[in-house]
Amino acid sequence: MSFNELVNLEFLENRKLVKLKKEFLRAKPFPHIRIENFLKEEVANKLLNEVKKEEFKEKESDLFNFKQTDDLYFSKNKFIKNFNDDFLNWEFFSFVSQITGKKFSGTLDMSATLYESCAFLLPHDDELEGRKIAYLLYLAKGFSEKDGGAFALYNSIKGVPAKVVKRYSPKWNSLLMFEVSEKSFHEVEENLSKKDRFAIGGWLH
Amino acid sequence: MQFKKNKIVKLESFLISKNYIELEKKLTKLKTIHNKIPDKFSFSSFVKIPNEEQGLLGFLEEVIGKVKTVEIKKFSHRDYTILHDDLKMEKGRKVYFFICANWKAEFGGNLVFVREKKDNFFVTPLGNSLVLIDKEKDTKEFVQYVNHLAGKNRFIIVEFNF
Repeated sequence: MSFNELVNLEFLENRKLVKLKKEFLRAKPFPHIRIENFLKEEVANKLLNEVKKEEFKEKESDLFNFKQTDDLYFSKNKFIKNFNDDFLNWEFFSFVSQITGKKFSGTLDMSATLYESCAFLLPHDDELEGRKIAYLLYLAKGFSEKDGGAFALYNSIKGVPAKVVKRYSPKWNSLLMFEVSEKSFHEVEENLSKKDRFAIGGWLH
Repeated sequence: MQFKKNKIVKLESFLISKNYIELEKKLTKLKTIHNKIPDKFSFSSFVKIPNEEQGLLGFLEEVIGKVKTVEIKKFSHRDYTILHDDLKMEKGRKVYFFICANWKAEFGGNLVFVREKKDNFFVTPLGNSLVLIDKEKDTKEFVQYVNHLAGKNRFIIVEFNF
């Protein structure tokens, strides 16, 4: 399969891409977008099943507590490896470029994360040399607002994050992208439920 | 001996029970305000620094030395501190005194000391316990995020800087 065969085709139409770009650039508090029903449903289901077989390592610091795989580029799972290859491809970079207006060097980070009950990621801006766009593909099922685990965006005043002005519950098979900058303060709110919050994500450089 | 080797020591049941209960009662009744700089910290502090801990302060001054400053912080669900560049990195002796009941490590809120070339040192809040540390210049500390398992539980840390 290629990238174009994995995603719902409507997102690849020019008219749709122009609309998505407007939405991305106008979004507050910093450029971002959430695209629902991103992958074909059978692909998303298969991806979740295969991701669950990966080895997740405990990540813990003052800033976070969650589980994460190594970069999926190194996965020994054939389906996952192919999925990574399909995204590490000019079609995906071109898709993101048309929505965000960014040009990329062709480097892609991709790993899977698992936020179990009580897991969190406190506010930070993601800035690190080379990162241009961050992306998250949610593979969490049945999350509602009361379950926590939301992706929360902060506005900022003079470079200091102030308050949460937007929240996205981790909606099944939705792709969230945002521009990495000194203003892109965000957090993953604590998972208040007993459900597993899986996602695949990383950065385009 | 333990303190000489590790430069850190925990002492449990520090105050006489009656005095601790009195201090706890007084502190938990006092009004606090919530402080949050999202990428640095989230906790409550006391509107007025109470003088109820004077007895403790006097005792510490007698056995350790002149206390320069006292800070009192209250942590509950969703509170935390994050290590960041603006943190003061000062060498010196510090004492942390805990006021709480029934706190469990799984709630988060553990006080973590990060020291170069040494393992992190974890302190789970325990009522009427005290931590004495000789901080090196590279010693940093943070309070882990308090998760929802804490429910309505909270704890107070009284920090004495010498």
